[in-house]
Amino acid sequence: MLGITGDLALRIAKYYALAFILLLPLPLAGDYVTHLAIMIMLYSITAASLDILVGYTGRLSLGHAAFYAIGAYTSTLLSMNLGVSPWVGILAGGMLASLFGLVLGIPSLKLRGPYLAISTLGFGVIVQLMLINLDWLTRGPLGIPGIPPLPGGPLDLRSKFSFYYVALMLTSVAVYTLHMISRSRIGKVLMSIREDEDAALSVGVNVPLFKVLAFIISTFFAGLSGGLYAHYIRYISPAMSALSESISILSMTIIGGFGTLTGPLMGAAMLTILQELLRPYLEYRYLIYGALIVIVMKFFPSGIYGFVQFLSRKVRG
Amino acid sequence: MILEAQGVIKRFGGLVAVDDVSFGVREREVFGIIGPNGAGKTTLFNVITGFYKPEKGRIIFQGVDITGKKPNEIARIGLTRTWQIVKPFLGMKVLDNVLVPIYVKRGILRGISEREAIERAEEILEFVGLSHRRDFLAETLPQGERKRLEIARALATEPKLLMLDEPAGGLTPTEMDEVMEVVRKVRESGVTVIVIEHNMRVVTGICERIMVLNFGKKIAEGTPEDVARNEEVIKAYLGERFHVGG
Amino acid sequence: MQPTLFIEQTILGLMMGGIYAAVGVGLTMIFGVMRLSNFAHGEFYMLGAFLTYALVMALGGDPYLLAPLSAIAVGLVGIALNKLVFLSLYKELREAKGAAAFFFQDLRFIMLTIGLSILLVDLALVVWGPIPIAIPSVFTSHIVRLPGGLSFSLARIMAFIVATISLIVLYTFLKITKTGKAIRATSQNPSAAALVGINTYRIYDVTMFISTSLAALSGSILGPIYNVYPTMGLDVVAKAFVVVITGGMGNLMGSILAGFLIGLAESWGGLFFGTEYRQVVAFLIMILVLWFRPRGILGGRS
Repeated sequence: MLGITGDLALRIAKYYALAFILLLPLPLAGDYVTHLAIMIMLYSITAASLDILVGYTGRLSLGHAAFYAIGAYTSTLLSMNLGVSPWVGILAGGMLASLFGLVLGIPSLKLRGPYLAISTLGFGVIVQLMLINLDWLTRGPLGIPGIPPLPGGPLDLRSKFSFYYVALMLTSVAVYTLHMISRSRIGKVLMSIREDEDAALSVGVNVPLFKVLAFIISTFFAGLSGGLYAHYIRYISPAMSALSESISILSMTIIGGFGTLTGPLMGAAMLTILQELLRPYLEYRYLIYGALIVIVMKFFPSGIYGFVQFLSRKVRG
Repeated sequence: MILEAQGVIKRFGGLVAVDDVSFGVREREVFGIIGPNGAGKTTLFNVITGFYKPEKGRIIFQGVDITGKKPNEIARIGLTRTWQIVKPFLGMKVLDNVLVPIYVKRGILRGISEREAIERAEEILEFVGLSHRRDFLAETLPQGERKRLEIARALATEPKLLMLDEPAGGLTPTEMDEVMEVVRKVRESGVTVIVIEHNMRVVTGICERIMVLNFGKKIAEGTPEDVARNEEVIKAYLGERFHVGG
Repeated sequence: MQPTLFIEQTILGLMMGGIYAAVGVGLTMIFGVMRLSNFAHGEFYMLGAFLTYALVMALGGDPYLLAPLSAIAVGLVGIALNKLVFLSLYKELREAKGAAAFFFQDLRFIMLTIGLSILLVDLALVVWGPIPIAIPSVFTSHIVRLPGGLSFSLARIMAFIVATISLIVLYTFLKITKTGKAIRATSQNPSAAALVGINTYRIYDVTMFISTSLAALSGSILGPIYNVYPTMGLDVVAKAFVVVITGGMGNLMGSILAGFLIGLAESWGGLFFGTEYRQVVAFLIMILVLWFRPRGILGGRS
């Protein structure tokens, strides 16, 4: 179905199963490492979702964090004000993020390059200002504390230990789904748009439809991961939609290696860990972070994963 | 007539790129469009395939008025074009280049099974002689093979009418022969072909009828022999030689 | 509403528009000539302000006199970065083929300049610290009173005059000098420009110099009015992009027009909807313009 042979689905599933098993004992390393791993997983979903848009469809977004924030606020408000189960709330968050994705996707159809970059940036800023100023709903700039944790039946999902396994399972499923989409017929059609819109049109591809579809898919998963974040950290604020967050996510996707889906996962892990490692050098932290982006983009333009692929090809001859 | 253009006018600012052009193409023929540089040939292609909207005139394809329809809609009802400057999906595999139009035509969510789709794509690659490149990235192909991939990708849309924009442009004589061979085979398979071409050897080699454009106007139409004797055509080409200095 | 307040806000908006125009013109030139979307543009604005502050502290004198000095210094930094970071990419861009390759280069430029921006902000933080600083100037305390109860600080008027003069100088430079014409030629068609013997990579350096020093000058002349702090460029760059896009990327006159338009709209927006929506107004105008004219009011390139 969708152009994925059972063979391919199984082969990729095996990688995910292997990673899943290898990651099972990680919480034994303590709460700090577990927390870091959870954050990496949440960023992985977001960075991978952005890859569908940037890496596969060739549509730049500098406002992806807005969808993450929309997911987080939706799930939070539904569960706190209406008593909806956070599980349903997270799903609703993904769907509302998707709806906003549609709202941004349609008017930006004809925009390219910097025009699209700034429009999406503007969208992020507007969402952030809305979250700040609609304080009767969002409690304004101070954010919302005391968000209920995910109900886990017998498991107490307030503990990092148990949440880790829930996150691991959900991340695996979400990222595997994105991976399958990228390899599906839809993925290939999206790539044809990235490669050449006119050529795609000339062989019958409904380019506007698929561009919007890419926005919908991508923002849905960003929204999901935002919802998960809300019920994990249990505090959210308008800063989630800040430009710096969007840039963070985009850096993960691109520095990791866009258009590969595996790259963004590596990017999420590397940049999150790097941020932690640089924490002691408080002042110089962003100096190094910025320099790293410059160096990778100048010398390894296809990202870390691209570089790894290049090396492995060299080794194999 | 499979395709009829009636009084097509396309302007860019003050320039009339296509000036009141009418012509018809019969089913299963190879129809050539020639003319000096800037004569409006590619613009006419863009108008027919929906990339430009004409200021005036109508395009009738298989009895249906397709004027103003979107390029993807036109491609899906069986009128597909290629590009003078080829536009393969460079970062994708050769097979995937051909698969995309098959998916679009035969159904993305349902319809053709993956195995059938791949078999079809392989048949088409075989047809244009690119089987050996199946799993290469399109960007690794030399120019001649890119031109044939362009045709393969267009054929994958299952066209009734294929419009080729300079399929032999910039090719070596050997590559040219390969492309001409492909065009002949396409025609034998029952597809009508319109070709824009500069190279007279190619034109006389494959076209049954030719239309000549100059400064956006149609100045002649007929068999290659008739057209070659037409005074106005000779003047147009001499004029070009004079300007270009060749 | 009081008419005085309205008139005052209108004039303030137009004054701010002049600065937006100056920052926007630099940004749009770089895009027009080398297809570079410079997300670090605001940092040159910030560096200019800090450098002027440092010069005022070291030499004494007024920031409005020392601003050109700091603008030249920042322009030289711009050239250095241009050679160090971007030169090889311009060469790659010339060889790029296919729509995806252009998208890829755009992305690289954007990420590179974002990286530079992060780096430069932190550099300023390390050198000058996070606390906002006011550049002392004798003009700040002079208030000019106009009939009808209107009053403006002389510093604001100075800032507007300097911005306007620099725009006129730039316009004349591009129109009449040989280098200026070469810049315009390169912007229109780089390969044709190279063909007629223009050293386009040198033109890139000159363009970078003009663009960054214009940003630095704008930062310097606003320094005495607003405060100077490391992230001041981030607030400005988004606005500058809005201006540039509204005007049409690569279109100088478009940017100038859009600069004034956005300055005015912000002022009025703040007046009618409250200051918290000032920023939204700018983005809304951009979105409206893009909706009807996807290449900006005066048309730009993509």
